[in-house]
Amino acid sequence: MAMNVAIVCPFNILRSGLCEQVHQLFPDWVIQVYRYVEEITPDKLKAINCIMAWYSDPGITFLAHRDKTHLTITCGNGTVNQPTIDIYDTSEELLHKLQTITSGLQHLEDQPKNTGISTREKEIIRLVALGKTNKEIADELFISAHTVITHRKNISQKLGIKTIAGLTMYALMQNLIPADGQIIRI
Amino acid sequence: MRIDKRTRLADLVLSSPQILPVLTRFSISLGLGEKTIEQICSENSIHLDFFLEVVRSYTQPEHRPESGLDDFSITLIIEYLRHSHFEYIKVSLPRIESDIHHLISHCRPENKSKLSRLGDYFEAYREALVSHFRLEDEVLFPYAENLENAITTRSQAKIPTPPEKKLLESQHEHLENSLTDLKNIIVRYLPPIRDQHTCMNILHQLFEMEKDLADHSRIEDMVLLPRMKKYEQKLASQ
Repeated sequence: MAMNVAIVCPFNILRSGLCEQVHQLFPDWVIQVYRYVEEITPDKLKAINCIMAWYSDPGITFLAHRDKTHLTITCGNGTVNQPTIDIYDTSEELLHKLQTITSGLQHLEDQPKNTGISTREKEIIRLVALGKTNKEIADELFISAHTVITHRKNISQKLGIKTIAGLTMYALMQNLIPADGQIIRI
Repeated sequence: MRIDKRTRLADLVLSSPQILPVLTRFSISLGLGEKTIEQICSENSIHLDFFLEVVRSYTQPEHRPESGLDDFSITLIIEYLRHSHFEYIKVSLPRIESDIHHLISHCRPENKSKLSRLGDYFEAYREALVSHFRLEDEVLFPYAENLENAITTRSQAKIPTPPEKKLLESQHEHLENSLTDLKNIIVRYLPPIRDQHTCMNILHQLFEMEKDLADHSRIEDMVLLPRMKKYEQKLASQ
């Protein structure tokens, strides 16, 4: 996978040495270098998959970048299941550790996207399936008809279901309404 | 591939199998040999230009009918469309319906109520589609034929009154969406069913019918309706 890596180390010789090693192992990776973690601004962070940050004790810590908006760097010795690079590592050891990180990231990317139907949206699907109009739904949930329409647009987009009969079938299959009540009209 | 009267029909079928239902509708039998489209059409008394127009609209989604292609009668188009309607009603829809019934009658008791509702959905879809076909057969097509009649007989007195076309057009999209939703529900939300074979079979048929219906609608929208519009303008300017 395409990797955008940040190498963070205040010592010039260590930093450029690691850069050179990574570049030889993975010529197509994009490498950015920083002296301190604080130099990585949030918008730069968005594009980065993996950070290798140097800490005083065992050497250099990997911090796989799991969530694009959230990154915690709490301790310097790689306690959170992240492999650690040691300055005595051979090229093969470095290669192996980097591969572990990328396959972990690949796995995260392969996770199916959550359709993310919220509890509120489920409630609206249920009421639509029961044959209620937007106005009736709005009154029942104490929201405006406009909000109901927005919810319905979002639901259609998330589920890819466009018709009321289709939503009714969805509600039936997902047990949001009893399976033997509604008449299905197209 | 380029399609003209010298194209061998067998080559076209092998490269674009989606035209198979077209062959059925023109009563062309397999065993096509090395015959060209021109030969096949003349042997089966099929209007060559019209046949070419239909297969092009099935194989080239971007195809627009050439302007001035007025040498075949609107009754040919309508005859073809009626024939397809008949086929949907008598062959494709009952086949899917019987597979769904098979699924319902052979499923585990805990899935019965959900699958029965799927059957209800298909039943409702079938009814909506059939009544749409009826509307076209009984209202749109006779109007189109009357238009052509008025043009050919140059009779001012017989200018027909147009039906509410809005009703017919808006239905196409809704029917397409209903079919798409049905596929979506089957693929994503069906309870675990033993008889996956029948499920797959149903899904295959739905995909096929969706594709075929889209091509069918395209003939209506791109060949029939433009022709009707032309006739209407011609009559209005007389």
